[in-house]
Amino acid sequence: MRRYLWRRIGLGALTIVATTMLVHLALYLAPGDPIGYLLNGRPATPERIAALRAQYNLDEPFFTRYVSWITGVFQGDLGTSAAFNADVSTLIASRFQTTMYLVLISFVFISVFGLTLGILAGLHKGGIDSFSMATATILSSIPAFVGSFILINVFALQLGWFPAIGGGDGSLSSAISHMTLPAIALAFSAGAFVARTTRASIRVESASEHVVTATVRGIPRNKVVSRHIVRNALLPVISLGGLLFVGLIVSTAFVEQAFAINGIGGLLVVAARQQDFALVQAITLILVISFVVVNLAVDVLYWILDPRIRSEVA
Amino acid sequence: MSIGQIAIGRNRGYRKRLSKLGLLGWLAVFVLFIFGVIAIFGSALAPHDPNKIDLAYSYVGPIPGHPLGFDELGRDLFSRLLVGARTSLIGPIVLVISTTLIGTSIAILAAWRRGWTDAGLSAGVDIAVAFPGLLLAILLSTVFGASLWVAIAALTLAYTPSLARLLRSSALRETGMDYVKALKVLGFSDSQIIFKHLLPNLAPFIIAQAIIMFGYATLDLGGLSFLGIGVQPPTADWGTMVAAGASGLLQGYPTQTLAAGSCLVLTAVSFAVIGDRLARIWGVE
Repeated sequence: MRRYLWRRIGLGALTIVATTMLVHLALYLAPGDPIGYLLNGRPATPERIAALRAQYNLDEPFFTRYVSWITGVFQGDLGTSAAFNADVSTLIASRFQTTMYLVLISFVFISVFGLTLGILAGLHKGGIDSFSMATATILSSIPAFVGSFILINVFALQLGWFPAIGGGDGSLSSAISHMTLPAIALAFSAGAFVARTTRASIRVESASEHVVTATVRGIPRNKVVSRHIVRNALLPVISLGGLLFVGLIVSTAFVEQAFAINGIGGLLVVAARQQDFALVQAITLILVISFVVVNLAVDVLYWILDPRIRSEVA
Repeated sequence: MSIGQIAIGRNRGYRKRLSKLGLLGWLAVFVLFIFGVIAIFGSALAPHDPNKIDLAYSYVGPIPGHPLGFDELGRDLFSRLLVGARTSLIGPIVLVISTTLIGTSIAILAAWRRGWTDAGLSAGVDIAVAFPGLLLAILLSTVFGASLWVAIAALTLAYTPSLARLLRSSALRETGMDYVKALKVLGFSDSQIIFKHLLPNLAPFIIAQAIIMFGYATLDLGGLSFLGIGVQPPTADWGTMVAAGASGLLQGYPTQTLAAGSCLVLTAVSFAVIGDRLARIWGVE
């Protein structure tokens, strides 16, 4: 277990270094010279140029520059945002919780809804299957930025069940009432994706020898379903969850804009529109780290759930 | 009849079975046909100038001659929707064509060369597949500025790996078949075998994938335009119209957002249905 884990951690660290280096390298790709790009249309006073040269270590070679940036990151210094004229870490910290609430609530909807549809469709052929898959097709074609407004229009404006916009005052109850609609909008396409994967996985598992054997041995159907089919079929779905996670954080940009919520995704898009390199770079770093951490968690979960991996690695 | 011709004949039944699209499939084809006509002739069909601002008509509802009413700046919504079809569909066309060309080339190169070429390409693809397209688009527009072309380039980069991965396994299966070996022994050149035999046999799979991709492409590009890092206003586009109508929707004028959003969803659903049916008909699910 330990060697397996260490290898995964090493691979994760490598991913983080490679991705951040690529992002750092992107500064060279910008049209024109880096100073002109970083000035971003602001007047080029000598002091400002000097400050930018110092902040981005522009006189140093690439590697030195990268190392000094990553050292700064470890000391909690993510740089200064040009667009907001504020400390990047402060900007991110104040929005992090909001986005996490949003993503976690959305994950609940995705799991409940994707797994229910997928398992139902996988176990029953005919009407239930076609109905579930038709639902999945329609939902996967409703992007979060359109779904948000449909939900706002129906459930906030017409029915008045939920607040239309805003992220709540920070307490859990207000977060839940404010985040329910955005989380559902975010869950549409990912939930449909989970449903399809689950269905395919259930079908494969149902046709496998161990299930046929269990059935022939006279084990009751519901026991075959719960212990032999579903338990095995969920393994690929779990790793899908890990893959979905970062995409989900980035996609919060859509619902955060639609619902006027102050979160990481919205911040990222504002930063991109303003060409605020320091901010985009910092958020990307956080996203890559969360990607690595989540996938590490998925690996560990696999280890716990699937004894076959244990014997394979050991 | 040479061996090559026999081999080509193997998959050619796929045109005949198109009639199995079903009612829903043909309905989807019809919807896309209408949208296609609008995309081509939209500016000629539009009853009014889509960019003519008249603040006196801000958020005025439907009146004779203006079936959908007006937007926040008093522009005719119906005209903007018609004209917007072109920008909303041209982007996905370019994106699908470029992705299909690059993805197919990578897949065939990997399957044909095998060995190190395959290993290298597949490793690159495996890493890139996990990178969210939206994040890539955000990074590129941070560096190069926001425009439709940057968005298309970013999504091409994001889509290509997964397409290449899907196609590679089919291409590997195909290159391992006897007819390819036979053609090689008969002395046909690589390019002859690839273009005359391999590609036609892979075509159903590639076409089905491209059609499914078109739906995603429409939504993703519309989404980037919605976020302000795709098509730039005042150009009429379904994605930017969803965003422009947002404040109106909160004030009780949801027409712009919901109409533009419905066009996007309808396009996406239609492509999904057709792609799904074709894949099933051709047996390339």
